[in-house]
Amino acid sequence: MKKNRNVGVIGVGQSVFSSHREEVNQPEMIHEAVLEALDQAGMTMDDIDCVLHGNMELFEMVHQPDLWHTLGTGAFGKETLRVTTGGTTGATLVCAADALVASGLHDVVMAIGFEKLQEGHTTGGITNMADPLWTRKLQTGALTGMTATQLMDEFGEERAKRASMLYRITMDKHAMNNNKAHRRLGLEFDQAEDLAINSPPLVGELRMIHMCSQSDGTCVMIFASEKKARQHCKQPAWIKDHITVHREENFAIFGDAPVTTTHRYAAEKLFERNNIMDPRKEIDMMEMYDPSSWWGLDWLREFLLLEGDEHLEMVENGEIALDGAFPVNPSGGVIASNPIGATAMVRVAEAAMQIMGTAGDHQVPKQVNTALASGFGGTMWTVLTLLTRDLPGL
Amino acid sequence: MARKVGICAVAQTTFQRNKWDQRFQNMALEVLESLREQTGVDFSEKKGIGMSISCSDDVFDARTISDNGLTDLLGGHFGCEEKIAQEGIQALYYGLAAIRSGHVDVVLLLGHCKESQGQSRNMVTHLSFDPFYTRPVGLDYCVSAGLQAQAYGERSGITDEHLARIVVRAREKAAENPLLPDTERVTMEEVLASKYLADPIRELHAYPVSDGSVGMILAAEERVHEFTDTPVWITGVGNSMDRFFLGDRNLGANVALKAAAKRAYHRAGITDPKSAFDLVELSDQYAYQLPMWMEGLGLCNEAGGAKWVEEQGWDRDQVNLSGGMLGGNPLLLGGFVRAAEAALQLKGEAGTRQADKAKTALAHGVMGPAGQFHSVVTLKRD
Amino acid sequence: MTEKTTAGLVADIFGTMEARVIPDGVDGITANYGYIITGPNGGKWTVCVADGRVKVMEDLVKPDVTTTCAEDDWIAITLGKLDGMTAFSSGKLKVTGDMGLLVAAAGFFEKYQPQPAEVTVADIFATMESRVNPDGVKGITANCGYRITGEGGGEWTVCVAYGKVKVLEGIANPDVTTTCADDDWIAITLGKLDGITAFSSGKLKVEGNLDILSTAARFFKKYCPPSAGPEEAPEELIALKQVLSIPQTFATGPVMGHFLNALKEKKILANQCPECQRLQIPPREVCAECVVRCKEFVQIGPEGIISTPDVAYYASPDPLTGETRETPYCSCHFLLDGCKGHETMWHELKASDIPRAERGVRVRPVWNDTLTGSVTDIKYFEIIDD
Repeated sequence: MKKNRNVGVIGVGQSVFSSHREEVNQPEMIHEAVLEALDQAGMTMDDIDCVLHGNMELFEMVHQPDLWHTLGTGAFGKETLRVTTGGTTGATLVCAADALVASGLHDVVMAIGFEKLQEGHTTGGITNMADPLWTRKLQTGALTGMTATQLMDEFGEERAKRASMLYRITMDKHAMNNNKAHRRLGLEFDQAEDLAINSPPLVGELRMIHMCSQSDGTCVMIFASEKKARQHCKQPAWIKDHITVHREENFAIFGDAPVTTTHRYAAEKLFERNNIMDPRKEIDMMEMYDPSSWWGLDWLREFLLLEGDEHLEMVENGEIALDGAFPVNPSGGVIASNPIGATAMVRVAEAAMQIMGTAGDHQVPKQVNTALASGFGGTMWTVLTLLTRDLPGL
Repeated sequence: MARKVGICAVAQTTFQRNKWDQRFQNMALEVLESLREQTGVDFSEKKGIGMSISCSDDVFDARTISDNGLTDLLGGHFGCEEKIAQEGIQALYYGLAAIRSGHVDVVLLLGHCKESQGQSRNMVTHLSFDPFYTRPVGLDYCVSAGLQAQAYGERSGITDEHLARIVVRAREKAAENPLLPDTERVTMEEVLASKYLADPIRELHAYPVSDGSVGMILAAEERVHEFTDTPVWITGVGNSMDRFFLGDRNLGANVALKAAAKRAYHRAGITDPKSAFDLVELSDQYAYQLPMWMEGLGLCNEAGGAKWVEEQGWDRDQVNLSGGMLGGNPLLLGGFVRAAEAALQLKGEAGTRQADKAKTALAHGVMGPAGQFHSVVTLKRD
Repeated sequence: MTEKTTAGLVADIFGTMEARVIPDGVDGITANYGYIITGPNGGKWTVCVADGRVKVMEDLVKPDVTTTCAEDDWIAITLGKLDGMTAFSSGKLKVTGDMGLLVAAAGFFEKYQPQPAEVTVADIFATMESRVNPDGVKGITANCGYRITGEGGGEWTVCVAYGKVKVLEGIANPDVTTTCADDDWIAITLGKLDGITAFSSGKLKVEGNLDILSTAARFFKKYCPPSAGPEEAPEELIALKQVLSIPQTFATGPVMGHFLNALKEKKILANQCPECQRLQIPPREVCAECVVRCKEFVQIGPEGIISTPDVAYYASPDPLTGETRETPYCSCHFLLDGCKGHETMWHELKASDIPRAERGVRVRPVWNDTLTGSVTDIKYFEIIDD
């Protein structure tokens, strides 16, 4: 691919993520993050050419909500684009913002991912994703215990359960450093065995402690052309590349045949076209959309193209910890905070902050030159974004 | 300089009151098959469609992530599929940006909507309003349009008779359009006797409920000729958002549309819009909007809408030869169909409604209460 | 403001004055300020200012100016909730003597901060009966037991019936029992710890009927800690509760429609991709792999095997009806006869068969008596006994 021009992330804003944001309405909660992003980019609304907006209508039951939300987004008089692709919405907004700036249509674009799950019925909203004539009558939410079963079959029940709980506790330790995170439980590693028994089961061995939260929150990112980025930001996070890979409507992944995951497929393609031979070495950190600690554990293998039990070892050795060799989710990840329309953008935002050096208490203690962020949604959809500290060649 | 982007092919289903025998996938598939037949395009990794943009709406579809129901036929299985959740004409805006950015060469745009599926489209647009203040007042797009029609009508001297003439002409054109088989001609008397929905808007002043699907193939300039001999170039795009609360706005003043048009004209290098277009397709959801949007686009004189109607300016300026939205397209796809119709005209593929020697065109879409959001696209053929 | 929380507050305001003196504010002033605070917790005090120091004495001692005020108003003025000038203008605050002296008095002291009184588990339970939310307990009959562990803990039973609530000490015939540490319970009550979070992390354990507990969150109005009078608590904002729905008529189309019609004849149909030959259940317009139209229908099953069983221990209520299905239930992918690989059909397994739900076990559909052309014409699949 030959990109028309470079695009840099120059500002990130996040509202506090919480299940309790009843003190603000939707536009007000958006506005919190808008102000923070503008402040970080050293800009005012006058500098913004275009405002992107995304969430899922049926969670809050607002039709074309960017219209009302204009009160908080500041989109009055601006160009706008509204993009929604389910769980991947936030990542898709990043792709669209990248396109709008790289195309030369705009110099500065603000993208806003938003959800106020408290105001609707989240599981009901997810169930409504299913075809009304078929699986809507069978489905309850987005949960399956299948991954837990597979991991236990492959690596033994004890090791698999322990590794997924280690992953979970590592994420909580990261969230404890992030004052924007929703769930910060203060878990310790010696609680692993207790939690594996006492946390209530949801589906199979998927327990409540493993599962992501339902949060209210907004994420805002500001993207700029190379010239504008340099004017406003000492160290932008440059968008090197991104790839979107969806999967068919029906979950044709059950049964006795092997499954190629969209995660591995997307990673292979992305690494190939960016000449990345050894992702664990050449990429400095990853921020993953991990809807549960079982999936987070399993997907490490897919995204990093690992073999055998390497992904379990990375968790067991503490390699994925904030100060480890390959930090994963310094933010605490999706298990800690999950405002769905914003969630996938928070992943890219965190990766960008790690490069920009603005992650504060959850900044990893090494220079991040290359960062990978994943988005997840729909029926096993994936979006990968690759960010770099150095300006990508065109 | 970013590369040019061309429309290679356009396809539409018919738009009918109630396609009871098809779910939205069936409608969309008709469009996809037509596009593939016209261009020979496929979903192969190297040469095929690199990105599909669905235009659909979760509330109209009553389905979270409405595009998930289309993933299969958008080539989204191990492919890139996106969705815009705005007026459908914005799919061109996103597709244009994606191709100009260099990220993809060939983009499929595919929109669908079944306005007949929900009990009432007004129940849908009612949900656009905030739950605390404007929903309890009972607002929906039709009621909001009534307020705007009053404000604009007063300003530009639009009477009930002007509105009736607009409807009679739109229905005349629609009746000639084979894609609108359910839309029949009406007389002045019928329009003038039609019952009020939201004063001064009468039932026949409103666009009819319809179901249908529309799509396009866009390609980068160096790839366009693989798919068509008659590409239509997107020369300009522009959109703008107005304020949310109706009371904060000057409803008769076309604030957002003027800003959107200015941006599109700037990008297209157009300095005199009145002479720039051979034909125009406007999203006239309600009759008063046809002259109002003409004013906002600078295509007729400010406050000259009434005169333009009296002179039947639509014939001279070749406006809405398709019948426009008053002929019957869904809210969500109005602007998308306008762009499709304009492209067909420039390609010389508009059949019975074909204009003479059209080389340049403008297409327009609108969303939100009383035109809160407008989007303008300018087109040109070689 | 309840009696419990204001008791001692007026005395505390005067008692802390000496510690709150602003030296610059009292500089150069010599005067005795008398206060008559009326009400059950009121009293008389004199604030003596001289040589840059302040001495507070009980009773009136040669006041140069005397202020008379009701206790609630005095607290409000001190906490900045009521403007002194407004109180004076409206007659809530009466002054006799040298009024000019009062103008200077506004700068004498640092702002009064009420001492936070300790929140106790006992107080949380003791105030429950006075905090009942009538809408929240309407139509509910249940006993909720609470075992609060730790030093400040204890055992209580909250009995709800006929719209009334009685809190008993000890555990008495509970329908559901919650066990939790005292600190965590206080944190949950004050909204500092999310109940679901506590539950999912095992801090809060539940035995018995979980559904009752999910309604319990609405039994009571918000708990106000003793230190915070109602004026001090942040304004409780209104939340708008609505169910929004738009009735829909979903067209089935020729593909899904054909499949649904076949169910009326107890036939399960798949359709087949003309290129890759895979079967699709339910049939869809195109094959996602090949993006071509699929026209051929094939009858499959109806018997088959369990391919992937998923036992769900929770169920969400239907967003519109509020109905919740029974748990646990088993959502299963079945490989019906004639299918292979990923060509599975998703449906439910009979609840009583859940203990035997294993891959490879043979199953058959159980049909409803009335067939309507819906996927729920199949009640569930059941295991075939040899």
